[in-house]
Amino acid sequence: MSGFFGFDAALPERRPGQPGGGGESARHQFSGFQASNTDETFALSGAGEEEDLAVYTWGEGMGGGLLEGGDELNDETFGDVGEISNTFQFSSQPAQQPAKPSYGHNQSTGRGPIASTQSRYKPKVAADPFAFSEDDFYSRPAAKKPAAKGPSRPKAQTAQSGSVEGLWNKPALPSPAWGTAPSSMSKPTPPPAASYSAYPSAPSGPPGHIKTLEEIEAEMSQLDVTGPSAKSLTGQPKVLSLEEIEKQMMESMEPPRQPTPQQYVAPPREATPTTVPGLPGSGYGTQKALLDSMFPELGQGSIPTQRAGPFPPGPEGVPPPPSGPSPDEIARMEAIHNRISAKIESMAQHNNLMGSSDKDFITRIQLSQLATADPYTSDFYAQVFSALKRSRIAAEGQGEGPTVVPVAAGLGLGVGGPVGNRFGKMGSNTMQKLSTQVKKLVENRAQHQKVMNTAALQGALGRVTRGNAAAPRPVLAIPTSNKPEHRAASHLNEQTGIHRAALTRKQIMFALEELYDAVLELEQMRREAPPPTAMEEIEVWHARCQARVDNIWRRLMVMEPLDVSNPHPFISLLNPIKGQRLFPRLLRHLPHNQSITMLSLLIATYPQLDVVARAPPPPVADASLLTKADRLDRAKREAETDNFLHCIIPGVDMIINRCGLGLVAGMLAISAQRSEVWKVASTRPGVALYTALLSKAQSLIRAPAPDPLNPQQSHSPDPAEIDQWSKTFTYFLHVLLPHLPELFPSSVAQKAAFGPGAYLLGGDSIGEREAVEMERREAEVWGFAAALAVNAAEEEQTSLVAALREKILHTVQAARNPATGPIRSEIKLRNVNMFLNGLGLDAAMIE
Amino acid sequence: MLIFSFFKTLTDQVITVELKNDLSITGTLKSVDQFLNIRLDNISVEDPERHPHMMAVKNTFIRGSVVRYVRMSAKSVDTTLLEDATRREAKEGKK
Amino acid sequence: MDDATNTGISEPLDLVKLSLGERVFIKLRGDRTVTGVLHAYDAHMNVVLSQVEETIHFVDVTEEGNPLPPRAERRNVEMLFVRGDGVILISPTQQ
Repeated sequence: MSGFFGFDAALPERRPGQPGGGGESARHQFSGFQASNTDETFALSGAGEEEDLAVYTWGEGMGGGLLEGGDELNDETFGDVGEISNTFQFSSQPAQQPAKPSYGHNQSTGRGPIASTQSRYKPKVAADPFAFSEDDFYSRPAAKKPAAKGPSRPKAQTAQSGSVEGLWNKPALPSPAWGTAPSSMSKPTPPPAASYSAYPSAPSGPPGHIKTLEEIEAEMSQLDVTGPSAKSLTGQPKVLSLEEIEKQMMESMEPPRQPTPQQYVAPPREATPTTVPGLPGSGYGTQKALLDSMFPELGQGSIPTQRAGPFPPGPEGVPPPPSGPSPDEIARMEAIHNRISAKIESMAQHNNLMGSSDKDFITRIQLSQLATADPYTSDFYAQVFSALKRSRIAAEGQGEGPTVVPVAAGLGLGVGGPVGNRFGKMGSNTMQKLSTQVKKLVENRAQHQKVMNTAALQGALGRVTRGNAAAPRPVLAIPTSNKPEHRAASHLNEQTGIHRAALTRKQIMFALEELYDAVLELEQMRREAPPPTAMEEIEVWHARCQARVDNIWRRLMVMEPLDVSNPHPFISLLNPIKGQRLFPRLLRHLPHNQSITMLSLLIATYPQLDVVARAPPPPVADASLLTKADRLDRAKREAETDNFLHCIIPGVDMIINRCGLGLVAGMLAISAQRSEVWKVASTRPGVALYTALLSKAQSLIRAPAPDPLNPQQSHSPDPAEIDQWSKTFTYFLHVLLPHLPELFPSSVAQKAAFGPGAYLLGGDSIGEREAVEMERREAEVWGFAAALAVNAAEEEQTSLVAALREKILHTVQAARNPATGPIRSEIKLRNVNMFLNGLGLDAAMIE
Repeated sequence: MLIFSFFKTLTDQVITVELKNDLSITGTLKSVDQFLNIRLDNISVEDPERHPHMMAVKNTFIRGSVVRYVRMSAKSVDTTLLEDATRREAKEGKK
Repeated sequence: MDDATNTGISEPLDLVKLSLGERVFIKLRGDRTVTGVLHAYDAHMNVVLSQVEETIHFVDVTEEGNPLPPRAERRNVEMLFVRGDGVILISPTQQ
C-alpha cells in the first residue's frame, strides 16, 4: 500500500501546477477523478485531508462543466461494449505527445495486474510507464468507497470521462484529457506527461514515451493488429481477455453509476494478476523484464494508429467525449483493443519460458546469495555435519566390523575431513587392540613353548617357597654397550646449548591455535585437489601443500634441541587435551620420516608429559576424604590420560607399526636411557607405549612375513637387528623387573591406601563398576607383562615369573574366591592367563 | 552464521529452550532462522504449575532474543567439527 | 615460542579463540556463572559449551534487610548453548 501514499503525495503537487489552458480543464476533471480516488485512498489510510479538499474543489469545478454530459455518455458506454470502447478511444487518442501517456495508460490497463505486482515490490518506479498504471490500480480500489462519499458527485458530473477512466483505471483519465486537449498539442502535452510522471515519478516518464513512439511505429509496421486497429473503425474486440474484462466491467458498472466504474475496475485489477496471460506465475524479475520489453511495443502499436488516422479529428476540443461513439472513437477503441491484444500476445510469447522449478531454482540462488557469498564457508558446520552423518549411516548400512573400521579411522588413515571427534571413540579401542595383539603373540608363543620348560616354571608356581620369592636369581647381565641407539633424537640430546623457560600456557594455546588454523588450511587445500589429469596444476598443488606441511612442521617445534626446556615445547603442545586431539590429524599429513622423528622425540621426552609426570594418583577407597579441589584435579588428570590414550596412542601405534626392528629397538633404548623406565611404565600411557613397542618387535621377529599394509617395511629383520633388540630388551627388563609388581594399579592402590581405606580396598565395598574398571586397568598391565613374557628368553621368563609370582597367585586366589563376583573373577582369570599363556602356562595349572 | 549453522543440524532433535523469564520449554526443534528464532513442536513446559498458560500450547515460535540457554544432548553435536567451524568463522571474520 | 608471543592478538575475541576446546568460565547476567568446555563462539558471544556446570548465586536477605551468607544453586548440563546477550565475560578457568 506504500504505493498509494506515494501516489497521492505526487498528485496534489502536480495538480496545482497542471491547471492552465483550456485543454487543461479536461485534465483537471480527470485529475479530479483521480484525485477523488486518491482522496478516498487517503481517507482509508488516514492520510492528509488537505489533499482531499483540494482535489474535491478541482474535481467539482472541472466536473461541473464537463462531467454532467460525460456521465450520461458513460452510462451509455457502459451499456454497450462499443460505447465503452469509444470512450476509451477518446482517452487514448489524445494528441501525439499526449498519446504517449495514453499508451502508457493503455498498457497499464492491459497490464494492470503486472503493474500491481510491481507496485508491491517497488512502490513507484519513475521510468516504468507501468508504474503509473499500478498506481492507478491501487488508487482505484481504495477510491471506490471514497468516491461514493465525497467525490462521487464530481465524478458523476464528469462521468463520461470518469467512467471510462474508472474502467481502465487512471490511465483512461489522462487519455480523455488528451483527447479533449489535443488542440493545444504543444502546451497540453507536456502537462499531461508531467501529470503522468507525477504519479510514478516525473523524470522517467518522458523518456519512456519517446522510446515508445519510435518503437511503436516500428512495431506497427510489423504487427498486423496495428494495421487493422488503425483502419477499422468498427469495434471488434478481438482479444478475449479484453472483452472479458470489458464485459465484467459493464456488468458491474451499470447498477451503480459513478462508484461502479471504480468498483468494476477494482475487481479486474485484483483478478488481473492471476488472470492476465502475460503475467502468470512468472518470477518478479522476469515479469518486470517482460514488461519492460513489452512496453515499448505496446505503446508503439497504439500510438501510431491513433496518430495516423483517428487522432487528428478526435483530439480537437471537448466535443469528442460528449459525442461518445463516433466512428473515430470506435476506431480508436479498436486500436486500443488491438494494442492490448498485441501486448498480451507479445507477453504471451514468453509465457512458461521458465518452469516453476526454474523459478524456484533462481529464488534459491537469490536467497543463498543473500545469506552468504560462500555457503560452504559460513555454513561449514551444517554442511560437513550432514555429510558426515550421511557417510556414517552409509557405513553402518554396510555393516562393517566395528573394531576394524574405527581403528583404521583412529589411526587417521584415509578418512578425510576435519572430524577428529571420531578419534576419541576409536581411541577407546586402542588398549583393546593392543591387548589382542599381545594375546595373539601369547597364543602363538604358548603353542610353541608348551613342551619346553613348563616343568621348571610349573614348579616355581606350584611350590611357593619363600626363599624363591625373596631371593630371585640375578639372571641378567646387562651389556653396557647396548645402550642408546643412535637416533636423531639422541643427537639432539647433545645439543644442550640453549635453555629456555617452558612455554607459558598462553603461548601454548596460541601456538595450538596457529597449528589448528594451519591444519585446517591444509585440509581445505587437500580437498581442493585438482583433477588428476591436470599435471601442472597437481604439481603446483603439491608444492603448496608441501609448503603448508613444512609450516606445520616448523610450528610443531619438534626440531628444537632436546633439552631446550622442560617440558620440551613439542611436549607442551601435547599436554593440553586440545593439542592431543590435534595429534592424529597432524600425523595424517606428515611424511613418514617426520613422523618417526616426532615419535622419537616423544619417546625421549615421555616423562615430561603431564600424563606421565602428573599421572592420576591411585584411586582412594573413600572419595569423600578428598577435598573438592583434589577431586577436580583428579578428574582433570584422568580426563587427560583418557584423552591421551584415545588420541595419541593410536597414532603412536601406527607409527611403530611402520617401523623396522632396528627402529623399534632404538626407540626402546632411547626410553630406557633417558627415563626411569619403571616410572613411565607405572602410568597407563607408559604401559601402552611399551606394550606397543614390545609386541611390534616380537611380531617382527616372529613373522617376517610381509605386512600387507607396508610391503616395503616387511624385510625380515637381520641378525644384527635381532641381536640389538635382544640386548636392549634385556637391559629394559633388568631395569624394570624389580618394580614389576608395583605397576599393577591394585598394588599401587593398596600401597597408597591408609587407614580404614586399606581394608576396604579390594574388598566388596568397592562398587562393582569401579571394580571392573580396576580390573580393566589391571588388564593393561597384564598385557604389558605378557608382552614382556613373549619377548623374554628362557631364563628371563623364570625371573619374570619369580617377580610376579605373588601377584599371580593372589589374583588366581581372588578369582577363585566365591566372594568375588563372577564378572570380576572371570576378568581376573583372563588377565592372569594373558600373562601365563605367554609362558605356555595356564591359571588352571596352578593349584 | 556459525551458530545458525549449528542449530540447523539440531533440526528434529529434542532440545530444551530456557527463556530469560526462567520458563523452560522442551520440544522438537522444527526450524531456526538467522536471528535464532526457534520453532518448537510437541512442547512441554518444565514447570507447568508455574506456567499454566502454557498447558494447552502444543507448538511455539520463540523469539531469539528472549532465549537464555538452549540445552541439547551431547551426542547430537560433533564438537571437533564445531571447533573447526568456529576457527574458520573467526578467520573469515578477520579478512 | 617466540612467534607465539610476537604474533599479535589483534582483537578480544582472539583471546576467546585460545580457549576453544578448553574449559572456560563465563559470567552471565542474573548472577549466573557457567563453566564448560568451549566448542563454539561468535561475534555476539553466543557460545556452545559441553560438560557444563551452571551456578546461580543468591544472596538472601533477612527481614531486617541483613544479607544472609550467599548461597548457590548448581546444575549440570551436557551440552549447552548460551545466548550472547547474557554474557558478561569469558575467561579460561584457572589451572
